[in-house]
Amino acid sequence: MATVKKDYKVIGSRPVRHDGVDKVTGKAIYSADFSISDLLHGKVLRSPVAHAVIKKIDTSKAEKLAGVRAIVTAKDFIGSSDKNIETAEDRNEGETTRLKYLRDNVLASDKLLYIGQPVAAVAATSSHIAEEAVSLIELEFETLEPVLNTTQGLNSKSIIHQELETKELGTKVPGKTNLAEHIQHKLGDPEEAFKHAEIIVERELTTETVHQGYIEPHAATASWSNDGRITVWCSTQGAFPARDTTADILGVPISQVKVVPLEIGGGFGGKIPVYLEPVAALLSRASGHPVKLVMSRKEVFECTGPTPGTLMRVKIGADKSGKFLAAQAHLEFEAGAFPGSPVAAGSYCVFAPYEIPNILIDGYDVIVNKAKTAAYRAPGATMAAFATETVIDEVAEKLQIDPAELRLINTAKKGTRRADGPVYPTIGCEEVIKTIKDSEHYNSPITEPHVGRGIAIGYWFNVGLESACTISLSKNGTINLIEGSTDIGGTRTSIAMQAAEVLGLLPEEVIPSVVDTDSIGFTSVTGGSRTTYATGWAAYEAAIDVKNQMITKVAGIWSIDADNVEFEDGVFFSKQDTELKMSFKELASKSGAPIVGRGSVSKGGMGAGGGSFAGAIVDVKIDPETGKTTVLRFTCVQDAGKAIYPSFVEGQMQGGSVQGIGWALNEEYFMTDDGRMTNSSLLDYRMPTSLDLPMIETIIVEVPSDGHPYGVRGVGEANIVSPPAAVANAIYHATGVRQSRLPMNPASITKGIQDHRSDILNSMNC
Amino acid sequence: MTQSKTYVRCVINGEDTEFLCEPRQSLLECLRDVLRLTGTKEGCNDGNCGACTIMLDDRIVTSCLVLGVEANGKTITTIEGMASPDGLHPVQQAFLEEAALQCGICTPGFLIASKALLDTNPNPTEEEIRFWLANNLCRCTGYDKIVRAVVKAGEKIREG
Amino acid sequence: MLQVFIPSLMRKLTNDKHVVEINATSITELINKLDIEYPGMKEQLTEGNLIKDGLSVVINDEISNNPLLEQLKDGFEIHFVPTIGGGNY
Repeated sequence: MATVKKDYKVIGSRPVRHDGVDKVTGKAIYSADFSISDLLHGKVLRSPVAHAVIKKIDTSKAEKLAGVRAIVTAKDFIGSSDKNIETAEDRNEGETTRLKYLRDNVLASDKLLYIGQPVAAVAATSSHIAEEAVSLIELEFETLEPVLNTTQGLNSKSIIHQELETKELGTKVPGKTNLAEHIQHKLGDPEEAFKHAEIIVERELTTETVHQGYIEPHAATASWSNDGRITVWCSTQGAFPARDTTADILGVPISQVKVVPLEIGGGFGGKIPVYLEPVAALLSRASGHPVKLVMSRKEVFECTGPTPGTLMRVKIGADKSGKFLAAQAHLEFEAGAFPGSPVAAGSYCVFAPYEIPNILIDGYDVIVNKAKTAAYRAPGATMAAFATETVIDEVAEKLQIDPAELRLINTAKKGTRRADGPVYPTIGCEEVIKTIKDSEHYNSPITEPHVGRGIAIGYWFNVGLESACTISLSKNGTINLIEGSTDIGGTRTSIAMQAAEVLGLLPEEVIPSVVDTDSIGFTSVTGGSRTTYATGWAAYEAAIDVKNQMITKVAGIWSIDADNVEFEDGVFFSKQDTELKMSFKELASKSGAPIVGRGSVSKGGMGAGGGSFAGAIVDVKIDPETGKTTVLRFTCVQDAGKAIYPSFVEGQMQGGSVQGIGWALNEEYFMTDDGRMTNSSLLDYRMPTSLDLPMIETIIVEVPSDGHPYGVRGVGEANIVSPPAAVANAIYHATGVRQSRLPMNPASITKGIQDHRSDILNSMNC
Repeated sequence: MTQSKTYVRCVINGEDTEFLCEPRQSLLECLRDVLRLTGTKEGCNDGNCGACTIMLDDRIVTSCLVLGVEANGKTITTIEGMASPDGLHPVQQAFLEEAALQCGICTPGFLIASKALLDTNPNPTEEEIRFWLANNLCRCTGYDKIVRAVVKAGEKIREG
Repeated sequence: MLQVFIPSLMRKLTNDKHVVEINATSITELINKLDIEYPGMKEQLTEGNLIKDGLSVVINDEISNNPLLEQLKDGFEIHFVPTIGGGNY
């Protein structure tokens, strides 16, 4: 294992990414661009109601439309028994999801559980004909009372899944319920500790549903051949998990399915689930042609998993010196129509940046009649941090302690015991807070009225999981690097750089390829901030393997022991005879058996490398008449362990920060009382544009992770966790009004200001 | 049912081009599905994301809001026409050097729009850049590096 | 001796004790001994011979991929935590 060095040749540089030219010239192939011969086009019929029992699906009129070649429903699923299977999202800990839930979310069988749920699909000679055919399918159903938030879910008599029992760690609590799971973590004795707190702040907060907002809609093409082989071309965050889930949903062995990942236009967690792939496959089998489906933007918003709305209560007790004595959190997250909100992750992260000896956390995964939620960049953590970090800001104000100083007093460190039990390995929380405290931004004066500054800290645990990599040496001294991590943000280059560093090559002398599931060993999702970390580690090991094989080869050429050969600065040399040396390129050109190196890693579940901490400093200006928030200045500080490709690390920090700003200020699902999303367009679901933002300043902190050869920490996610809370704190300092709801849009800010003014007037009149 | 097709003749990326399309097909659909020029992307199909941005005569337009039949007699530039056999356009090169793309799906639209800006205003301020590009959505980058890339491209173009 | 941390939802079986000391070299041995001292723990933690669905085992500070195969040494911390699923990345 390499020790973490200060000076690398390639690591830390900024080469042009390998796939860059194709992407700036329009040559890169994304899933909607893909075509093969004999192709049909598919469209999906979707539920018009939030909660109902299906009575009848009549496809007869649709079948008669000229150009229609096949129609499928849930009846067309074959073969597999109703067993628990692991999906991409659950593979991390061995938790399993019932196959029925998975299948029902792809094509509904007995009930309609959310507006937009797929019910049937048509393949036709054009997408326009397919769409027309969908409108001819007759769906009969009996409506039931919908459940649309966690309060309703926990109290309503309308039960969504009759067989569901609440999971509590190892047991199931008998009785009909919409509560899928109750998580709890307890450390020390919080009830007793709160009695000794000199200051206690407790708040109830809510957040609305938001979507990952990737610009590329889902698309998939499938071809089910006469020999039973199914090939799927799609945009996915994990070709292997997509293969495994698709195979199980279809009821075929995984070896029968090949997933070819195409270039992907954003995911942020939302492209881990499969939606279209099994449908395309069923249509292909039924029609005898390959079939392509592409989602519309409306379908993306209404029918794919967003991140949940939440109801949270957080309470923190501290002594006069600012030491946190006790903390308590109650987190209710909407799972959507099937179990699996990120409340467990939220529970893990809610107090993660702090050393608190007495903690109680209760997390609730509540079924509601909305689309099943999916991961969104550090899922669960952002909502939890919104609660904790705004409460901490209040504690700081009441104690008259600087907000950064208060966090420093309580910072988690290596050896700090977490609420769920284990202690931290080496982490960079303290360093991130210190960097914020010492930064020019934090210490610059605020001179204008209606301007406020806020900070917040966030954590994401990162995952490790499995990756494979093979490296083949070419005769001209370049290497072909084969890996299976779909590349959403330049990871094929950050992975290539790690191999290049080992072998003394330039990045352009490494030719990386992201390949299909037939061509490389199992590789887990591109997500969880694991790609540069774990697939990079596999590439590192494959490169070491290549190096060792070359050492053996040159030792043979020189007739010396391999132990006597060293490799440095691109040259192999004998330790004992300085005349004996050969360059990497020259050795590569020698004939002999091909040199192929192999790397294969399994780097554990959550908390890989200790995770990453990130913080935000934001200055906002509020227009008191309109409630409009202008972001004047934003700084993101994040611990990257070691920044392999600093431009990409900065890019992740900036991207996550801006998603956090959108989440803070504007983004939400506007839902009617019958469960319909009314703003399912990019006009009305308001994501930040270039005009809404300043430059996003970044400060990369490097506290190397234990274990990784270059000390890498995944950076993709932690940067979205703190911005909404930082913005909320900034709005408070600009307006005097505490924010307890996301988003903090102009309407809610002006209402808050008006209510605040009336409170002051009323208190003056007493 | 299929509609009867209309004959359209135009210039695309400097080449005489002809195609048949149904009246209901957008120019975006014609470019991608009829002409197989898939560099221009579809993100929303209602003019709100800018991923389908092209030049139509001397204007930047969202091609999802233009009908294919409207292209008759017009001059169109798409991302496929930006580089030349001599190399990338300075704005393409700048996007690469400044790491102004992550997933790349919005990049063709941004490049067309950015080039159009620099063709009219070779030395734009940050605010002018942000205003001009406000109809191009990016979810990955937060726009910071895109703005830097446009500034850098402007410098390169002015240097000649 | 192993330091075995009991999850809060199971502490009703251990008289509210949070940490319990057990001498064992494997998880299976640990759970069997735990069940002798605090009856009902085995049923909470296992299904058949495997760790129950929904539970993960953390040894010291790392989640174990194959907990039943691990060699446990003196002073190790053992934690049972909820499996994080349904969108953790």
